[in-house]
Parts: sequence; structure tokens; C-alpha cells
Amino acid sequence: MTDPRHNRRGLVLRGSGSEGEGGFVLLEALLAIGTLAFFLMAANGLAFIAKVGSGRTHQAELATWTAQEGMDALQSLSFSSLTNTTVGSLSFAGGRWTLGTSAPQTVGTNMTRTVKVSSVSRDGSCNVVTSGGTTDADSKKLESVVAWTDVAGRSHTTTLSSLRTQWENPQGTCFKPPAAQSTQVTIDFTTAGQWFGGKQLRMVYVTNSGTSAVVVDKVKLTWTNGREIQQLFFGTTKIWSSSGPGTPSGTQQSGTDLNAQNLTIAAGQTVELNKTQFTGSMGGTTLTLKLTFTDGSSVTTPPFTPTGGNGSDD
Amino acid sequence: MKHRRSPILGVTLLETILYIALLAIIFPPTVAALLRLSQETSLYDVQHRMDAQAGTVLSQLTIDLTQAGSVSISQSTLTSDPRSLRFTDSAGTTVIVDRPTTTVTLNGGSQTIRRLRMQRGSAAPFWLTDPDIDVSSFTVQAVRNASSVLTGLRFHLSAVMPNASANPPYRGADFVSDVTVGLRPQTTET
Repeated sequence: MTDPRHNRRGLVLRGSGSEGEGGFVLLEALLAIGTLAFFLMAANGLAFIAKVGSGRTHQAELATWTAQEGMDALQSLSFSSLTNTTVGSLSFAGGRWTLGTSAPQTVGTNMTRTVKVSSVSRDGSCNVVTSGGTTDADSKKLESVVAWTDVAGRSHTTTLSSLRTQWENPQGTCFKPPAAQSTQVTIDFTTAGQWFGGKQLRMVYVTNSGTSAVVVDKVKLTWTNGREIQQLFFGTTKIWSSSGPGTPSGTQQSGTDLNAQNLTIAAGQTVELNKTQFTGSMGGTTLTLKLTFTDGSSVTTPPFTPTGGNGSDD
Repeated sequence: MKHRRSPILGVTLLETILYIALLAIIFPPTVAALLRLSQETSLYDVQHRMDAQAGTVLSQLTIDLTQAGSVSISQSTLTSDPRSLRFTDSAGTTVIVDRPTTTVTLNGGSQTIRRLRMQRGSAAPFWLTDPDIDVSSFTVQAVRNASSVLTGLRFHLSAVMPNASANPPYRGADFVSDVTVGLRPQTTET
């Protein structure tokens, strides 16, 4: 007689003849189902994590663009429209952004934006400082803060900040361009310009009446005869001659730029255009003198005729 | 004669029923979850591509416009289709951004979509967006300050992903963004 349990071996899998084996079969089945359920739950968990991560990335990207838009909107406003606020809001109408004060402003699902405008302080060297210093009339600190809640309910904040400068019309001292060097300089040629020995010009005075030094880059003399210039002194310093120092070398015709060796004239100083010598008699000759400074500015005298010059050295 | 029922048979049947019942309970939601997982994974991929593509386009426009020498509002078509934006880059080359309609072939057949395109000077125009992204909306507005000086451009960009089989028309991935690009002081309006 066949033991019926033998026919169940395939089903029971581990039939041992014990009456208690049914319990093992149930346990195995439950274990198998439990294991399957565990892996499926793990897969679902991964899917959920992926969904949360993807949603968070999407929102973070939108938050960045929203914050950037806030910053660019502030940059598009006139400087005078940037009034200090910690609860700034932005509205766009008629092709213009307007700064309001009703932040935080809802700008998307679970997303708000607040823009802030604040003064900037600088020290005596015009460096930005967070404490002390004086308020710079030409600078504003701009911030664009976007707060958002991700799909998992966590709060995040994206903040962008920048400085805005009223560079086009500065009111303070930090951004005002320095005055042109030429505005500080006057040339006295009318009362004192004289020829010595008929061919050497002296006693033309250059005065720096400004509060900072000026630096002469080039000197150009023009005259009305065919003589050539041989040397040029400022005070006791020879800044150019046909054999050096300076360039170009050789005697030079009227209208040639002579390298002034970056001659510095201190604030309040007067120097004499001295021993400026030509190749022949210059008596009665009309000249102009042009000084070009290192900032590119220049000052030119009107034509003038120095006194003296009756000597004959031809 | 009385036969004693073997408890194994009864229990085995019960086990089998329980087993099938458990499977019947677990399988449907499991299969549904797997299908949803597959669909959502596909959607995340599409959405990620959309985000990346739109971000790249907006970054490209931002970089180009912050280096622009001039922006020609008068020669651009900002308020009506086909819209176009015309400016010169830092080298003085004319750059045109527009959104022509074009036909693309997807797995499910051909579809008519709108793509962003850029042309620099006389060089051949090139696409800014992929052929499987439909730029459903692209508007540009001039942004001016209180003195009516052109200080920026405001873009509205909407893009959707067409479905390969064209039914339903879109795969549910989209990107919508409003972006203002501030122009630098050296950029003039022509």
C-alpha cells in the first residue's frame, strides 16, 4: 500500500512523515511571501526615494531660477528706485519691475520669494565693511531669498546676493573718477618766456595747483621756422636731448612728441621749462607748448612769442 | 470502519488556500506598484531631461545676453508669432533666436512641434532644444527702468514632451519658467 504522504512529497517538499510538517510548509510559504513582500517594499521605497529626489531637484532648479529672476529684476531697476527693505516684493507690469514691500511673495507651489535691499558701508579705503565705516551713497546690497518646501515636507532656502553700484552717476567719493591731471596744471608763458643766447628758451613755468602729483608723459613744442630742437630741461633735470635721455634720438623738427621720462610735478610745485635749446637762432619765433600727462589728458598753450633772442648762433 | 483523517491533507489544503489567498492579496497591488514604478521612473527621466534642457537654454540665453553689445528691440518680433529676438554678441555678430515650427519623426509617427533655434551671423542656424521637446510658449518682453532705459529682457518659456505614440499628446512632463535676464551697462538698445 502506498503511503499517501509519499504522493505529497512533491507538494510538501520536505515531507518527513511527521505530522508536524504542515506547520513547516506554512512557515516556508509565509517566509517566501514575506521575502517577496520585503523586496517589493524595498523596490517601492526606492521608487519613493527616487520620486522625492527628482521632485526636490526639480524644485531646487525652479528655486534657483526664481531667485535669479529676483536678482535680475532688482538689477533692472533704476538705482534711485532701490529703497532699503527687508520685505521686498516684485511685480512686473508694462515692461517694468516695481519693488514693493509685501514679502514673502508666493511665486509657485510651496515657494515664496523675498527680496532685500540694504545700504553698504565702506571704510576710508572704500573697502566694504560689515561694521563701522560710512554708508556709501553709490552702493546697495541686493538679496533674493527663495524659500520652498520639498515633497517630503522639508524646508529649504536659496539665497543669492549681489552689489549694485551707481557707477553712471556717482555721488560719493569712492566711485568718482579722479580729475584729469591737465585740470591741475597751468603754464605761465606770457610774462616770463625768454630766449637766452638766441636759441635757448627758459623761464616758462609749469605749476601744479592741484592736491595730487601730475606726471608728464610727453612734451611737444611747435615753432615757425626750420630749426630743430636739441635738448629739453625741466628745472635742473634734462628730460630729453638728441643724444639721450629720452626718445626719439637726434635733433627733432617742430611738432615732435618728446618722451618726458614721466616727469613728476608734485602738488603745489612749479617747475621751469629750462634750457630748451634749438639748433639756431629762434628770436621772434612763435611757439606752442603741449604737455601730455599719463592719464591721457593734455594742456596746450596758445601760440606765444618769447622775449629776447637777438643772439646769432646760425 | 472509521478512518482517521490525516491532519496533513487538511493542513496542506489549507496551506495551499492560504498561499493562494496571500498571493491573491499581494500580487495585484504588487503588479500595480511595479507598473507605477516603471511609469514614474520613465516620467522622472523625461522630467529630468526637460529640466536640464530648459535650464541649458536659459543659461545659454543668459550668457549670450549678458555679453551682448546691443539688443535690437525694433528688429525683434516680441509680441506676435513667429517671435524672434535679435541682438549682437560681444564680437558684433548678429544673433537671432526664434521658434519655428518643424516636423519631427518619433516612434509613434510624425508630430509637429516648435523648437528654439539660434543663428549667429551667416553661419547655419542650430537648434537649442531637442527634437522631442515642444516649446509650447516662448515670449520675450523688454524690461526698462524708470528712465525707460532697456535694462533687461524677460523670458517666458513653456515646454512639454510629446508622446511618441501621439496619444495622449504629451507625456506629462513640462517645464514652465519666467526668467528676467539683466543686461550689462555696455549693452545698448538699437
